Amino acid sequence: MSKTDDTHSIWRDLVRAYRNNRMATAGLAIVAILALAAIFAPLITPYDPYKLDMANASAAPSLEHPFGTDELGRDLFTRIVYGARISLMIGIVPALIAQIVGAVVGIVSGYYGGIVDHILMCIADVVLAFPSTLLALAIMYTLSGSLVNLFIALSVVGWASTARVVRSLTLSLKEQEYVEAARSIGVRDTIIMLRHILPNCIPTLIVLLTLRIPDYILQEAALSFLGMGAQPPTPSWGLIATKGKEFLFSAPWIGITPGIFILITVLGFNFMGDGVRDALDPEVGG
Amino acid sequence: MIRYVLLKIFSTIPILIGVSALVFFLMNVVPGDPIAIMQRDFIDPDALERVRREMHLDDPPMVRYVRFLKGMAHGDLGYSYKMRRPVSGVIATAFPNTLKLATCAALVSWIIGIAAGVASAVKPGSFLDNALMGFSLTGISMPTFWAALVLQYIFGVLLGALPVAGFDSWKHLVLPVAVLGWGQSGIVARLTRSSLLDAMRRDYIRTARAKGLRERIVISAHALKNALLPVVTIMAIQISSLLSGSIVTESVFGIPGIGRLAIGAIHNRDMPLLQGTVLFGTFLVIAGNLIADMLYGTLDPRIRYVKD
Repeated sequence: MSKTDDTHSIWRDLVRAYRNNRMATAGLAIVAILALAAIFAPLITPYDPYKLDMANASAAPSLEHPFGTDELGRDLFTRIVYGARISLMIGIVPALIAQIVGAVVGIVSGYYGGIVDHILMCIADVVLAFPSTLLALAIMYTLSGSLVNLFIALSVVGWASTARVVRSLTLSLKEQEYVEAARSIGVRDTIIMLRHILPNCIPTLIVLLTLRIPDYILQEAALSFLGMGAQPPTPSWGLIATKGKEFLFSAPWIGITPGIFILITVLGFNFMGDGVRDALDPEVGG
Repeated sequence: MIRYVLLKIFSTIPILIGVSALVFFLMNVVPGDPIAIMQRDFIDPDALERVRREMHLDDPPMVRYVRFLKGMAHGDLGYSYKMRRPVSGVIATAFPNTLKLATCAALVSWIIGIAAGVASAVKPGSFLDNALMGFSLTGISMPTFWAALVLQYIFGVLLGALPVAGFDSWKHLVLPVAVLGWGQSGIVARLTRSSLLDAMRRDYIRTARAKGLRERIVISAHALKNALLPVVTIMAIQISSLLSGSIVTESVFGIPGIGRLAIGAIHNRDMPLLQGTVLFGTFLVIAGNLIADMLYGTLDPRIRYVKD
């Protein structure tokens, strides 16, 4: 792990690692293509993802509808393209929130120690004790199903593991001489945490983020599939697949296609993540 | 060792209290009186009033939480609104099904995962390594429900070889176990591989090779023994992800287990049942962590002494 305040070297490490890692480059390409498709969705497909066309319901894939249509006649390709927006957003936004909250809690807990540390880590352990899907479900039960609530639920579920890792990192960082030096010349605690401890946690935080994003995409899909995430008519991939379950015999493409895209997206992020991990954390990479 | 075990057990008490508090207050801030849900069936206002009194719904939340804790200590998790049965009884009926599914999936994941991880690590970078790691990464990256739908489609619809729903015979177990086991085996395989590769770089392996031992012995007796230590910890984490995974798997394959109970409870707004299943699942995870900790302490005495 790069133990330097120069954050630029992280990017240099990353670029160097990517140049030699074909899988990581492939992952980056997959994610980039999906991101572009999500951003420029209206330019890619002429159809409206919400417009019903009952005359064409559950049509098999054809030239006009490359992935077929769903049970309400909506073009499946269009809904998949728009669905990429949701999957990418749900992967990235709550994952970032969870990382930020986890980093703050971890650094504060590790730096101050004592009773603050005890209380914060006890809360983290409580959150960590839950099977993640069950806790997310319980939160969604309280908040009721919607995308925004799913953001909240996933953020609540995710911060604890980051906090644990960052805390133990902080414990060793605060014993370093440069921290001692800063403290002895009277630098304020907040400044020490921000300027000396946080930058050294960044590589680990990036590695954890790359692990979390694919996990959250899968969680969103699973929760929406169970009816506890995005609500109809949102074109969430998990939600499209739920309907597909009912039509598995007559129109299998409705259930199968969104899953293929989830698989590709998650694989893309996992390829990227493996590359990032090898670059920033040689201890973990095999 | 006994001190270590007791210490570990005591350290879970604050977590148990925290978990129960979080679940209780999460469930009890939900607006909407459970009585209103029962009203669809209960018409008699006197009966409603009686139920309200029996359930102590008018007490302040703190009083109800303490009562809930007391009940929990006696194994009483409340009364399901929908099923009109004690929650603990409902869970006791459903749990064996989840246990059967999860145990089979875990066994499959260990056998396949450790075998694949070892085969990969023996010749890193080879075709076999890439193929096995591709298989593992796919298992980790695919949505559980999708794998379930695809297998249902192939084996149920196209081939007609296996049943797609229900839980009556061993045949019903094949597809759900395959779905759940594949994803889990990916995790085990990747961990086994990296852990074994790490062990192979150690000095004692060089010594073993220098002694002229056969490669097979070096790997199985020297490297693997040490490499499997971290794999043991994964088993505890597995309880958590198996439970999470079985929620989806059970609901796709119509298996009457804990996961489907939770989903049904949400749809029926059956708060005590959801509360009970979430608590039960979390207690299982805590127990699993405890067992893994002890196992780890037994297998690697260094850890025990450090923590003492």
